[in-house]
This record gives sequence, C-alpha cells and structure tokens, in this order.
Amino acid sequence: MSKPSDLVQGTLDMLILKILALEPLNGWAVSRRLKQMSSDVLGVSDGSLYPSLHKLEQRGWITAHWKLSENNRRSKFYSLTQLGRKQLEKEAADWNRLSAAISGIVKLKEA
Amino acid sequence: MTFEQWFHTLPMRLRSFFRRKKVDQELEDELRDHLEQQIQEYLAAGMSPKDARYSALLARGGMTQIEQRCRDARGGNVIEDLVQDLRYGVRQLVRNPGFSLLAVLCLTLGIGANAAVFSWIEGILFRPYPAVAHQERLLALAGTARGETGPMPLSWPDFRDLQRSCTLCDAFFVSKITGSTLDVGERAEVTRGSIVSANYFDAIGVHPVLGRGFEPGEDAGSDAHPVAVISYQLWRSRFKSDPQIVGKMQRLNNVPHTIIGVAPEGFYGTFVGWAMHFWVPASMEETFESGGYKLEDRDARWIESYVRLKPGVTRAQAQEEISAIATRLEANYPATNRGRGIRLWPLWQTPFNNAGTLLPTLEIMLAVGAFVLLIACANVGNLLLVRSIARRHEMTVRLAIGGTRRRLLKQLFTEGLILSTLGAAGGLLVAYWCRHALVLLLPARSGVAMYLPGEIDWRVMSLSAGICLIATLIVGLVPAFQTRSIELAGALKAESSGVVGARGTAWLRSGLVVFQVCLSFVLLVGAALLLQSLQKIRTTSPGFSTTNVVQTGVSLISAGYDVPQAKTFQKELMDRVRALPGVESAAFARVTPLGYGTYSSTPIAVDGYQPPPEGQPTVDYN
Repeated sequence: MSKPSDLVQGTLDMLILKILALEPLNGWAVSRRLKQMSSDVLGVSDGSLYPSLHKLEQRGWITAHWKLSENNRRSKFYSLTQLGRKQLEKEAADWNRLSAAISGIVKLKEA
Repeated sequence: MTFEQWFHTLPMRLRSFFRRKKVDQELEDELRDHLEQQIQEYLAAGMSPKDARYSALLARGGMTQIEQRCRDARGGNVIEDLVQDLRYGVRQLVRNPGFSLLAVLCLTLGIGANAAVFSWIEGILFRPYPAVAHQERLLALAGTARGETGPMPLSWPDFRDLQRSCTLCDAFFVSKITGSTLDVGERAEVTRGSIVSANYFDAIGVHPVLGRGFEPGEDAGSDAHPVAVISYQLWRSRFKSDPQIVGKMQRLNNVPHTIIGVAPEGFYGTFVGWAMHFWVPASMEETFESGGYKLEDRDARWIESYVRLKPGVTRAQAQEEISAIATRLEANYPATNRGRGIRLWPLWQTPFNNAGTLLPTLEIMLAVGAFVLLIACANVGNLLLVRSIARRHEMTVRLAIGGTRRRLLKQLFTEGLILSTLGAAGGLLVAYWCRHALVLLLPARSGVAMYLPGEIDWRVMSLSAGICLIATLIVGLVPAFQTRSIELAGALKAESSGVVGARGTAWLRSGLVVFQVCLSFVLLVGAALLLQSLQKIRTTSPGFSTTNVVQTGVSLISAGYDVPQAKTFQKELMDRVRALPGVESAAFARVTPLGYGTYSSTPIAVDGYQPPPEGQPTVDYN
C-alpha cells in the first residue's frame, strides 16, 4: 500500500483552498488541520505545503497578512479570495465528478 | 491566466523582483515561525528542548530547498533569472573573446546578408517611393494587346477616358521617364526626368518646398506649357540652393523652360532604377519624345502611368472595372483599340521600370541569404557544441547541486540570445552600409548611374528581429540537446577520465557537419555555374575588342546645339580626346553595341508583305 501522505496530483491545492475557506490560518495550522480533518490519513510535508501556498497566493486565489497569533507571535495568515472561492467550487465539482466515476468502476461486482 | 489573476500577480512579481530582500526575509520568518510551532508541539508532548529542536529540524527538511521551491512557485524570479543569465552569459562571452568574436561575426554575416536583401526588396519592390502618400495602394497601369505577350504603353486619350470613368480609384497619374542634357554653369550632364500629368504632385501627395506644382490644364496643348519642377538635390548641387530659383529659365532639350518649383528633399520621383531630377507636364512631350504631337492621338501609345486605389478596394475589383472600361473603349474606337486591354500590376511587378527586371535577381539573393544564414547558424551551433563539451563539467555540477534542467536550458538560450542579438545589431549595421550597394552591381546606362536605395524601416527591422529569434533557437538548441544526455552519476565519474563527446554528441556533431556541407555544396554549385556563365560571357567574342574601352553618353541636340554646331563639336571633341595621352582611338556611335537600348530603323520593305496604308514597318535594332 502506498504511503498515506501520497496525495493525488493536484488535490493538495484544492484541500488547502477548502481548509482556508473555513477560516484564515497560517501555514502551520493548515498542515495540522489537514491531518486532523482527514483523521491522520493525509499529511503534507513542509517542502510541498509552502511552495503550494505561495503558488496559490501568486495566482490570486488566496491572500496573506501578517498578524499576531494566539501565543503572541507574528505569523503569516492566509485567507481565501473571491477568485479562490470560484476556483474551489470548480475544483470540488471536478473532484466529485472524477471520484464518483472512479468509485463507480471500483465498486462494480465481479462476475 | 485570466486578466483578474494578472491583476493580483503582476504587483506581486514586481515586488518579488524589486523588494527581493524583504520578500526573502518574510519567507524566512514564515518558515521559522513554522519551526517554532513544531518545537512547541514536541515540547508539549514531553520532549527535551534539545530533542524537540532536533526532531523539528529533521521533520522540516532542507530549509534552502523549501525556500528555493517557494521562490520558484512565486515565479517572480523570471526577471531575476533573466538578469542573472544575461550577466552570466556576458561574462562567459567576455571570458572567451575568440569564440565570441567568431560566433558574433558568423551571425553578423548571416543576419546582415538577409537584412541587406530585405532592405533592397523593401526599398526597390515593396516601398519604392517613400515620399509618396499611400504607396501601399499604388498600382502600375499598362496596356495589353492581342497577340502580344508583353505589356504595352497607353495612349493619352485612353488614359484620360480611364481617369474620367473609373470610380474605384483615388488618382490616376502619368510618369514617363525621359532625359535631357542639363547645361548649368560650366558643366553639362545627362539628367533623368519625368513627363507627368498635371495632377502628378497632388496625386502623390508631394508638395514642392519652393514655388508650386503643376496646375490643371498645364498638361494640355502642343508644347503649350514650358514649365518644370526640379529636384531638391539638383537645386542644391547645380543651382547652389538659389532662393530666387522660381521663375528662372532653364534649357531642357533645347527648349527654355520656366522653373516653377523645387520638390522636397528625399523625393526622387516614381521610377525604380534612376533618381528623377526634373518634371515637365505632358504638354511638353513633343520636346522630349519622338513622334510629334500625341495628346489627341489614340493610336500613339507612349505613356507609363499609375493608379491609387480607394481604401478597401482590392486589385481584382479595380481590374474588373478597368477591364469593363477597356471593353467599352474597344467598342467605341474599334480602329485604334481593337484587341486592346488595360491591366493593373502591383508595384513590385511594374513592367516599365527596373522593378520587374530586378525581381528574379532579388529572389535568388533571398534564397542565397537564407542559405548563408543557415550555414552561419550551423557554424555557430558547432562552435557552441564544442564549447558545451568543455562546459559539461559546469553543467553536471549545476545539475548535481539541484539546478533544474529547465533553468539550465533557459541559461543556454539566453546565451544564444546574446550572441544573436549582437549578430543582429551588427547585421543591421551591415545592411545600413550596404543599402546603396546594389547599384555597384549594375553598370551605369547612357552615362547616368542607377539609383536603387535599400529601405530600412520597421518592417525590415522586425523581419531581422524574427531572423534573430530563429537564429537564437537554432543556436541554443544545439547545446540544449547536449545537456539532455547528461547523466549525473555517469558524467561526474566520466569527467575525471576526460572522455569528450559521448555517442549522442558525436551524432549531433556529424549531423551538423553534414548539414553544413550540403548547404555549402548547393551554394558552391550555384556560384560555379554563375562563374561559368560569366566566363562564357567574357570569352564569347562579340566581334570587336572590349578591353580598355570606356564609354559615356552625350546628347547634343538636347543641350541646345543645332546640327552644324553639333558636327563641329563632335569633330573637335574627337580630335581633343584622341590627343589625350593614353588614348589610342575614339569614336562616336549612335547605338552602343550590346547596350541596353533599342532603336527603330528607318522604314523597311519586306518582300511579299503589303503594309497597311498608314503604317510602315520598322525594325528595332541594337
């Protein structure tokens, strides 16, 4: 079986967008949240997370602000933009279509 | 990317480029923040501070790699990379001056040859009359006749009818080349000029800087309006920029003409091959043309003319209308116009000047230019290939320490771009120097040097830039191909053993050499054939000696001599020329043997042929 952290290519962006749609978070919290929400099935290395965040910011889907976190440290918080919300809807729809198709095939009864 | 995204991206990219330090600092802060929180988590889980730090560092992985990947993700370093590559590329070129010079010279030659040919094609075929308004809508007008393959001149009455009835054209004007001896001050010389319709200057949008152009009606009547407009150059050189020139008299073809205007600087008339220096109205044609008064004779075909289409009208539409008018003329004047048509020609095929005759020559030059460019590219590619083998170590190390192949390719193409940009700059300089060089290949005719200027405008520039890009691609592709075959482990090991040229490279190199040899062979064969033809022309005996012969043209009658005076002049000139040291013999001839001009004989009789009552057969001879 493959490692649980192996994300299907391209789904990381969508997951980050979804997590940030719920509330603005910093990078650390995004990686924690991903783990929690997937019940420890999905994980992302820092080496993938940060480039991904920067790429999404570059594309205008998320924006970043420096804010003080709960423990009084200056932290970079990301939040979803209007463009990002549209992108998330599009990617989620694509994903639903794709996963429905795949699970439809996987669930076929063998004769 | 959508426009909305660019709206976000552009400021960020500019920020990553111009505020690089701050952006880098922020990235570092962000990653450190992440690390601190990880440590906090481990501490909370009960690790010792030291272990917590150690584990957190381990979990995060290489800081530098993450930072680099973030920078790549931001994409802001496109500009940064370019600047870096340019700087590095220039340093590389400066470090190998011999190589760089050779490569740039090769490309200068390749691009320069093409740019020069482009500038000639532009200046002679496509934009021959830069001072003329809307020359892109200008077309040449010539007659056709049943049973004749070549184009024919038009008659003045036909031209007038055409001008009156055509609705799709802005302007019709006549511009027929002629010449005269111009006798000003102490020097007389043969000068080219044009016989034009009165609307000429208005139709082409050229306005005299002094005096006026022709007025309507000045092109009617028999020798009725002896007036002339002269060129700016003539005014400057022969009339010493005389501000009082307008109203002065000048003898042209033995008839005193009043100078009424001076054309603007840079206007050389509308004839490909010679610069025009004076213009006279069509009413003066008898003075300059043989055959008497022809303005009311529909059977006398002598004029060369142009039309300018209305905006948006195609040549085919205009041709249709003009053909209909020609058919009507044929019906109305069957005696003179039976079987005659009128045809429009694009300027670059103008049948009555040198555009048509130079077209094949320029086509060959274009092909040769393309060959030279390809050979130059192959040459430079080969040079780069050899150098890239020498640089294999550098490439391997860069790949080994984490440089991506993409980044490496970008750099190689940037180096190619530097080379070809320098080559293109040199090439344009070459083209600029060569813009009047075409004339050197063509002999002066009747003692008047030809005028065939190249034109370097934005179209030539952008074509050359395009060629430069193609050269960059070809030149950069060769070493790029080379990096494809680098295998890290193998290459690092092989490096020390000094093996140069893997199988792939050898294949590429021999491919390039074969390509070069093929192209050179084509050029060589072409050149050999050309030389052979030249040799044949040189060795074929025309029946007289052609060595050490110089010739020039004099036109005495047009200079105002009457026949007895001309005879005396000829005799005296001959005596004085023969007396010159170094002159063996001298002679006058009406026709230069093997020259370009043809002359009509006196009427001849042909056995068994009954000529029509109004015409007598003549032959053209040379």
